Amino acid sequence: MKKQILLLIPLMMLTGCKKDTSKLKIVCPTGAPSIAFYKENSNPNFETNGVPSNIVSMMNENSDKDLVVIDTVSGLKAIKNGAPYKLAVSLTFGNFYIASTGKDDDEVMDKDDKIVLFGQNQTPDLLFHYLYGNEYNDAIEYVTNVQDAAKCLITGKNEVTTNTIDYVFIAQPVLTNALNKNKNAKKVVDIQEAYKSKSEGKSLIQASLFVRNKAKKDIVNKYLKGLKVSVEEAVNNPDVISETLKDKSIEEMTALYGVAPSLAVTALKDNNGLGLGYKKGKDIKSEIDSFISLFSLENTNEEIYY
Amino acid sequence: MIFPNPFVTLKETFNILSKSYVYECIGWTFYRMMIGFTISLLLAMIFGILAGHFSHFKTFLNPMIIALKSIPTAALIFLFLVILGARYAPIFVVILISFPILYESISAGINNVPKEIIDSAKVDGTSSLKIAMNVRLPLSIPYILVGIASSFALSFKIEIMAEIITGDTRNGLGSAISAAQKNDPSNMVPIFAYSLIAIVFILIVTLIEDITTKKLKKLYY
Repeated sequence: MKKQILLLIPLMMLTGCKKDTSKLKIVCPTGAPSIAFYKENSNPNFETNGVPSNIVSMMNENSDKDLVVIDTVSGLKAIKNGAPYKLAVSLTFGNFYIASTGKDDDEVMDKDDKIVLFGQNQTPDLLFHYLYGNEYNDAIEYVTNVQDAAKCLITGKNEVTTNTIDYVFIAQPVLTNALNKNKNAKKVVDIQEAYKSKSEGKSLIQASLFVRNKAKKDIVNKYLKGLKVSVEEAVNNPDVISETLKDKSIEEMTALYGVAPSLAVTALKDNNGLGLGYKKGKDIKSEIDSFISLFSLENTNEEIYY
Repeated sequence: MIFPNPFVTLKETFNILSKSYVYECIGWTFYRMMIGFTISLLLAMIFGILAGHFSHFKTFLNPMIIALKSIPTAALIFLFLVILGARYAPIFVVILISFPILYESISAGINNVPKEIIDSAKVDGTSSLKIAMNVRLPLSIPYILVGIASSFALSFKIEIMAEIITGDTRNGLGSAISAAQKNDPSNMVPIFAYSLIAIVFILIVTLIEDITTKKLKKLYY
């Protein structure tokens, strides 16, 4: 008996030393960034949240979340306000598009058209103004969120103002859904490309992964390695997502990721419409600084990077 | 068209009901609501009996109860979201919303027991504790049942609303409604279908509750 116990001790120690990445507590907003975590569909420590501002409020001193995915600007602002996190990786590089509803006769976006933007004073609004200046200010109608923008693209009308809408600033994957419903609608501007050409080839750093300062580095590093592989697999072969989630309830996965898996796959197949990717924050510091300058934020310090 | 066709909604309702996901959602929402409701009922029992028995204690608690009743629910949700996270916040919101209703019905019930009955129990030499447990509490059961009935359906609604506001995506009716809205914002049919399911479910629970209440009343009177 004693011998058996003695044999068990090193085994138990080894088990204790195992870098168990599934113990990391992860929170991510639903939508494009959450698709990067398609392999975490059954992980009880992985949770998504449909309200991004709720995620920011979780980035506090007492938080138990080891990895937090949030839009880069909100995450950096939280760090500036004392959140004990560091930016590790950028995961989404823009999923914004301008789509035409099919109502514009000349099919050229001009000042006489009605343009719907979502998220006043937020990323979509600031990006639009960065690209087009104040030229279209009189043509813009704001809606609260991307879902309302999708409604405008599908119906060609703004339910609130009852105006006919010509162009809608929208994000994937809801764009794919809207295009399926309004056969006259089409993509006219890829905002990522427009941003790149205006900012000398820099990427749009939309969402990033932040690591809690207290999180165990070796476990986090191991997890990040795996995440990189998962993201690259999904981008190169989007069908891997359907394959991974095939035995899961569609409704449950739609709730978890905020988008039906089939829709996410379709959007990814359309030239990586979700803008998924994996770049270490440290390696793209200049791109991050350039992007956040749109939001009047100062350049980042080296210390905020993981 | 904001309101969907009722026949299409009914068809969608049956379609949703044919999948196991909705039962998991109902189960989880009900389970979390019951945790909050049970804790609230226990707390209300303790504080309600004390307040019904000791008028000074009731006066002492009064400002807190008024404050609890007047705090906006949404503010509470955000507060609990920061303290407890999205998973547990709805449970605590249910506790704080249903507690004042249950507390008031219990303390009113205890208070409204006829004085003559209490006096005769005292004359018989019954201790205060025994009077509270064997006389006041059983006689106040109709009040308690009214409190339970009025806060039960409310708690269920609060749980669903809190699930939507906290943005949690675990199985639950709130997250199902939220996901349906996000997945296809132009289609209101699934949202109405899930709401219809929630209404029917709470009607069934209320019916069971009514039958139980009647049986309990018969048992005590």
